[in-house]
Amino acid sequence: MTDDEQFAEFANAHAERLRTTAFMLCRDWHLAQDLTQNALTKLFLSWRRASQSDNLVAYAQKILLRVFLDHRRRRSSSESASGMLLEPAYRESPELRLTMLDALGCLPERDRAIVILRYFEDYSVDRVADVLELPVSVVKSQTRRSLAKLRELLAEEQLALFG
Amino acid sequence: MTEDLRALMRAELNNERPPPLGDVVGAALRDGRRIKRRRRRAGMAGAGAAGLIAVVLFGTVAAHSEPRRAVVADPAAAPALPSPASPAAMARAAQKVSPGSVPVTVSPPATVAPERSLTVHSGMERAAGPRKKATTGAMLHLLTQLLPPGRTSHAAVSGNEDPYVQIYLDRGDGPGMIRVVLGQLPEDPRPPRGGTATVSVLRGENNCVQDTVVVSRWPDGTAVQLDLASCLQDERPGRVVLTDDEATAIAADPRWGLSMDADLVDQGDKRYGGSPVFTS
Repeated sequence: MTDDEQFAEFANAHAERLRTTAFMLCRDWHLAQDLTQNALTKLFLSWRRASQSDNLVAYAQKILLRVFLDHRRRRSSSESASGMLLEPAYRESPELRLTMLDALGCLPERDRAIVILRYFEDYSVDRVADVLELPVSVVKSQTRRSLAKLRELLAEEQLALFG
Repeated sequence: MTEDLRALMRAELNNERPPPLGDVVGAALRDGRRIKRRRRRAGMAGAGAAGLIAVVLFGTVAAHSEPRRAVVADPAAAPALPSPASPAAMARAAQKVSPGSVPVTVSPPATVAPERSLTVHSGMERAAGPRKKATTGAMLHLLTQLLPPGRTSHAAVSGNEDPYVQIYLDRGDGPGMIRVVLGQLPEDPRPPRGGTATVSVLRGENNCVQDTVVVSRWPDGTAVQLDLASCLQDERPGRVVLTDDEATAIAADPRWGLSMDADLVDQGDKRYGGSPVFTS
């Protein structure tokens, strides 16, 4: 099997999962699709090295996260302020209750990535630190802070789930 | 807690209605292959720019010039030469010509003045106005505009539609032959023309048609080569009629290119459209 065929096989098997992770990060399916395609392109370009990795899926996730963070960095000037979501009136209105995904969107990009990797992808702290190239201590402390913020943002009944 | 959080995320994801995934894999493959091709070309262009210049210009010039031995900056091109030089001559030439040089005649010349390379700012990115594909008529027309005062004659063009022309100039002390050839390196993506040309002045040996070779190169890959001959077409004695500075100014004129000002092309075709074909 050629390199291209190997890549295509892997990509076809994992594209959907990558797109879901991308959606969790950006909460926009179309952007998630673009991010996934960019990440797969980068993966293709480094396929020789990537295919020797112990965990190819983690390698691909790492590329996806970098693509996402790069994208956010480039667009940071047009970022909307997440502080709006913290308004008490917003939280008190049941029909406007924040969902988990909305609440995740209120976290800074890197913290969001930490939470998604830790609790959605079920990565260990060490692996999250490796993927995001952060010290383990930072991952731990940011995880604590992010969870506290999520508790603040989410409705009472949802809080009970991970209190 | 972890399980609850994960369950909450999954529950919300299940409520989502994602659009069809589409052909992201195919698109990634296509983009990746295109980037790889571009990188390969960029690498080749970077590493072998001198070789490519040599191949492009030599390919155009060699077919029409005097039988001569050429110096090739890219050794890989050597087998394609019509008259391969002896190993000793090639070795001498390789020492003589810098890697960034273009094909010139072989070997250690009877140098009149030192070879040199200089940068010439034209002061403009590109001549304004509509453009047309350059013709040999336009080349001759532009050349006569750029030459210093003198009597021009024997205007002739290449026989196989290459952008390659010849003219004689007599400044009062006898005629001298000048030939001009245009070339362009393949570039992808092609950068802008730029306002600065790099000009090399080289000396030939054992080839009176290329006594002095002046080559200007532009950032977009355009190359203009002036051959100043010390003989005439039939190998009767002639003289080099331009100084290095004059030849440099001509080669670095921003109006040269594989596309040229439309008016200049029209006028050139009118004036030199029926020029005879010269033989090497």
